[in-house]
Amino acid sequence: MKKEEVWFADAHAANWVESLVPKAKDLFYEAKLNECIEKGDSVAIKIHFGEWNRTRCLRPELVAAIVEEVKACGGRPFVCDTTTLTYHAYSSRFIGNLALETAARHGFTEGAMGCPVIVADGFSGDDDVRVEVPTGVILKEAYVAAAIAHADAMINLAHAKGHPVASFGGCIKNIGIGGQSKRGKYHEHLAHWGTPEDFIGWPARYPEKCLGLDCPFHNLCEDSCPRGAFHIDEKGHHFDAEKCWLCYSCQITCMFTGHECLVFIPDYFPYAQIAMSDAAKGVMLTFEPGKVGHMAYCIDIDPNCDCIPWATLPVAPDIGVFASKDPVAIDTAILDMIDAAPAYPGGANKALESVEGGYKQGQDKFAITQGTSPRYQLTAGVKNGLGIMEYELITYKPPYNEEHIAKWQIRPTPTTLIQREMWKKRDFVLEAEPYKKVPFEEKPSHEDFKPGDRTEYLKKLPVKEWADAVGKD
Amino acid sequence: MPAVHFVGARERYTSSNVIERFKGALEKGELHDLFSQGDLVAVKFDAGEKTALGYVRPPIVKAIVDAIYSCGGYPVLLDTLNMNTKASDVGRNWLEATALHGFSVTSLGKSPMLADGYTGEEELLVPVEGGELGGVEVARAIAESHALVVVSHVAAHPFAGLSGALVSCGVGCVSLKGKGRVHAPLRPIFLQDRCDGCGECEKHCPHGAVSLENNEPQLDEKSCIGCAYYCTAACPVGAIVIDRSSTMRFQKRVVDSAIAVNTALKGKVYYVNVLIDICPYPDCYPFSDVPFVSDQGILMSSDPVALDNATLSVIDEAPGLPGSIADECDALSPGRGKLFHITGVDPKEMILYAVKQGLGQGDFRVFKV
Repeated sequence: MKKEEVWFADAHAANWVESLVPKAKDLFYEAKLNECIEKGDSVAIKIHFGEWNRTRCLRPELVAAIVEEVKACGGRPFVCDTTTLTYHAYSSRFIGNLALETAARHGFTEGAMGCPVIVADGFSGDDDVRVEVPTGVILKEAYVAAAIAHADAMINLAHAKGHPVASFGGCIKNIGIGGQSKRGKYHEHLAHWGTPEDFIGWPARYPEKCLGLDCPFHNLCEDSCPRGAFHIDEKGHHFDAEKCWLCYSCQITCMFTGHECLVFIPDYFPYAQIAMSDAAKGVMLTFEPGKVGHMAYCIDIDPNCDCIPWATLPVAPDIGVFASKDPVAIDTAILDMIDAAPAYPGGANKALESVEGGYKQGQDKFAITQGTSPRYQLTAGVKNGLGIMEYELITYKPPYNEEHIAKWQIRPTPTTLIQREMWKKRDFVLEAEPYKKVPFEEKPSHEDFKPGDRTEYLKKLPVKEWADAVGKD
Repeated sequence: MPAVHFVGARERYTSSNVIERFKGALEKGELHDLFSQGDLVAVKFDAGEKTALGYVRPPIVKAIVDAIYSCGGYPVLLDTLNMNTKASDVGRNWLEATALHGFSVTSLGKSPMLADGYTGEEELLVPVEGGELGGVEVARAIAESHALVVVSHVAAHPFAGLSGALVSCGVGCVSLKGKGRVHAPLRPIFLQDRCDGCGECEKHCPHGAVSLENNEPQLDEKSCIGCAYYCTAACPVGAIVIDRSSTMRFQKRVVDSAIAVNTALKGKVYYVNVLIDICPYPDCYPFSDVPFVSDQGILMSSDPVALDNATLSVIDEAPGLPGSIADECDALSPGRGKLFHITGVDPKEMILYAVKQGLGQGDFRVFKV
């Protein structure tokens, strides 16, 4: 049976070479992603900028690490994301200028990246290329952000984490949603597929559950629709199905303020995942074979996506970094690793701990936290030819020797030698000698500084479960 | 005879692009022999004052950065603080000016930094023998570098005549204390017949060295530090000039200080004079005025004296620009000593002194790139 290679390096680190940044750089070459890039290629590095006030998103150095290697291969990289739909009432990335402000706040600037940082589908999000997807399971065409479609090569650099709709967001989602222009995203949300009563191409709407003007969030709710498709009065919720294009904004607002009028039905989620894989296939079709490498950082594994303007405790401890040339194989490997990992204590707002009988390692974590298994996107990806689920996981351990320590440092030779040279010219440390301090023979005993027992204080801490546990065996 | 390479400002085809020709000349020329692989190479540029428009533009500095990388060095972009600003916010002003003028990690691929620290006090005292100065405080980061490329925006200089390689090295590469040492002899003279007693000089002197007595400005010799800037630049009627005997001492100190910088760098210094936007005021002034000769291009050499001398002849040979200060000073015609007529200071004096002190040669041979 054919298997795709998926390279993996874990998140543990106890020395120079084990830092996630050098390991990601090593993996880039081990997985032969450098072969995707020829000298002079324009290379899209597709990341997720992360929503305003999102706290668990990719960190600048993790992206700059790959930018540096793309440059070393002779590529001309640019870091990009696309405009979003208005996913909630205070969306921060649905137009170019807001998206770049948000990117800058997360450290994704030209200065930090060392290459341009752009919005791949333009200011308003209509700069795209239409691609036929003949093998699509649901979608037969995709609208790919122009900067991505016109690039010669791409490094699909994902943050692996959960997602409220797709259940999981990894490499498939990073291009399946993240590589689409604005109309591509509407299309892929399956807007206007079926009838409003099916609740697939429209929000699942239960007007009888709307509190009308009594709802303390009714202003936010009405403002959340970018098309003014509904209004709320004393008689309740009035909806114009023609105007609605299923951006999720009203649903997110209603659900996250604790209400049940505008929601999703369980059947919607598998379809959304399948459409996402079709759109991902569309993105891959804009590249010559072998010109796209996939990588994912599987750390800060929040139950919800970077498009959500907050983050909670993760579902699992940090796992590491992955690289592969197959987007389905890499996502399968990541999901397997996440499920095999222990649950993060108190993570995902305690969703896993609340499972009856307790959470057991190996159970589908995102199926529990999101209500839908994330693996529909994988099987759909197999069907539409995006990739295969069979993989060979190759665990990478960096060699620990002088040469490899030097490999990814700021300078190729120990920088202490620079300091040594500087002290020879003028040693301002010695200029201040002798420093004023207590004579050595009069030094205090460090026994006097020994910390006392904190148990009584800990028992009064505001986190009740922790306080109660203190002092118990 | 020292070689001076000249990249003319005219461009007509893609292949005659100034930046490309300049970068190519740097990579092929003497820059290659200036330093070893892995060396730290300081690039001294002048970010210019926040409100001034005359400064070397970022693409020229970027070309030097790229050339240093391609020759195997590590560039570090350095500037020093300006003695004309209040000590409490000099560093901040400089940071704001670099950002405003486009010198950033984004444009240059390297963050520019202050060679003498945020308050201009980080320095290394380097002695010089046999001149006006006993020694000078070289900005620390420059003294710590293995080689140095001095980029000068060529302009007239009110006390040196020419602001070029010598001034950028002797004034631009030293700390605030060093700058004070170089400027110390300068003293203003108040022309009482022109003075209308407005009191601007008294108001602007940060050292309280000028006071008005019976509507006539008086100088307190002890308080005056010789910045020669605040009072002269503030006077709206041109009643304050600098004592000519003091400018000659200033010129000598500039040269002595440049010798100290060369000593600190063991002679591994390369000079680039940019003759684009040739303004009447140097980059340390908060205004530049309109250029007085047309753009000429970029001159470069490893000999600062030959380079400044070549720069002087290029400026003097070029026709002056109508409506500029050259027009006002009746120095439009080619061959007229423009800098002397504009500033009243003869830059040749500084060059002759530099030759005498052995910093370089007055002769030069120009090679067109």
